[in-house]
Amino acid sequence: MPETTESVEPATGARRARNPLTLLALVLVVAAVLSAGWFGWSWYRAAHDDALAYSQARDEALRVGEQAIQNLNTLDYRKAQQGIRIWEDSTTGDLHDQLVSGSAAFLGQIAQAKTVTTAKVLDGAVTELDERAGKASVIVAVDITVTPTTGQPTDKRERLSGQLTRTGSGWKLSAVGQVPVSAS
Amino acid sequence: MAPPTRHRPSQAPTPLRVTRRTLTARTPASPEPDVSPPATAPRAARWTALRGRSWSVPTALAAIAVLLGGLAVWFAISAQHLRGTASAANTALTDNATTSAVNGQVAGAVNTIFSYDYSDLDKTQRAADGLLVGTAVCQYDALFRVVKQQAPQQHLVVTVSVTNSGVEALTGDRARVLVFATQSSTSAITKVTSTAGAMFAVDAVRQHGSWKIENIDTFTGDQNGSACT
Repeated sequence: MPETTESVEPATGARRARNPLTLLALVLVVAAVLSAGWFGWSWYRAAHDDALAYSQARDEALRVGEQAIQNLNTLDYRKAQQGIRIWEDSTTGDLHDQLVSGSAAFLGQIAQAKTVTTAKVLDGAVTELDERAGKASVIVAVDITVTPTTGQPTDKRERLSGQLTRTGSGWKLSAVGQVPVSAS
Repeated sequence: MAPPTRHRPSQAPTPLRVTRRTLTARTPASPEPDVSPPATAPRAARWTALRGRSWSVPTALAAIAVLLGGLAVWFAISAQHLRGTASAANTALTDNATTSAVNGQVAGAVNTIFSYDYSDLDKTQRAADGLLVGTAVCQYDALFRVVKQQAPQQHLVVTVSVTNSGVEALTGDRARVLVFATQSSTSAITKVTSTAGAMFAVDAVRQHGSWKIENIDTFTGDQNGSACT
């Protein structure tokens, strides 16, 4: 017993002497714990924020939709097979099936036409997004340039609307068409 | 300690009893210092060792603080990474009410400012006054100057109707809307009606609760914009 008391006393004295430093360190620990907790919570909430997830799905749908529409309006007769494969990869559902079943006939047509078609997306917007159902609608303004082997390239603007469906490998275009000029 | 009724005073203590007694008597004095040190001594020694160095405790605490601080920074960056993106700032479609307000008001404004009757062009221009701000005022003036020249000559009645519109971006009081519209023009002379599709994007700003057109982007590069900005 006397031994322990002896060993404690100098320690207490020493601790008292460097108390400010320990206290400061303790304050820092407390501050660090609080901020780690706060930012951890904020991170957790951000990661589980529905609106945030919805925004990301919206932007992803637009990005994919614009890319798919550009893909479907791009074809080089010299690399037609490859181009049609990209069409097929960009689409799903009925649109995909149509492209697959029509590809042989189309390859024949493009071989005869000998044109190079390129598309540039001018602008696009998501008009509808049902994240749960995995469906989205986009409208896209494109500029399509058709260059024949001889003669001048022709430029035209198209107003397109597309439907996207989420698949196992992300959003894919499931329908696309020109927006009709209606006299409504 | 032991109940005295159990043992007669005359009876000699049994060996068991003796052992017990010796045990109870010794316990505080001798066996404890022998038995307990293995449990407490290393801890005490560690503490003493720690206390022996004047910097250990604050340093250890500071190290913990640094680790936790690093964790906090990492959390903050991760959260910021998620929330600070352009996706997060853009509330198009996530804010349903505002998105439809923008869509509706921009479509209405477009229909109003681009529809005109050659017999009353002022009516259109007056209506446009309240719907346009900033660059759009200048852009519209340039456009309407042409209309003023041609419409009376051809007796044109033009009706513009937005068929599709989508809010691309919505951030606070600013929005960008992609617009597809149908323009149907009828000449009162020839009675021929022609329809054409139009596509353009509109930058809109909310002023006093209503959305006004601030810029009309016809995707023709800077040709139109440079004349007006």
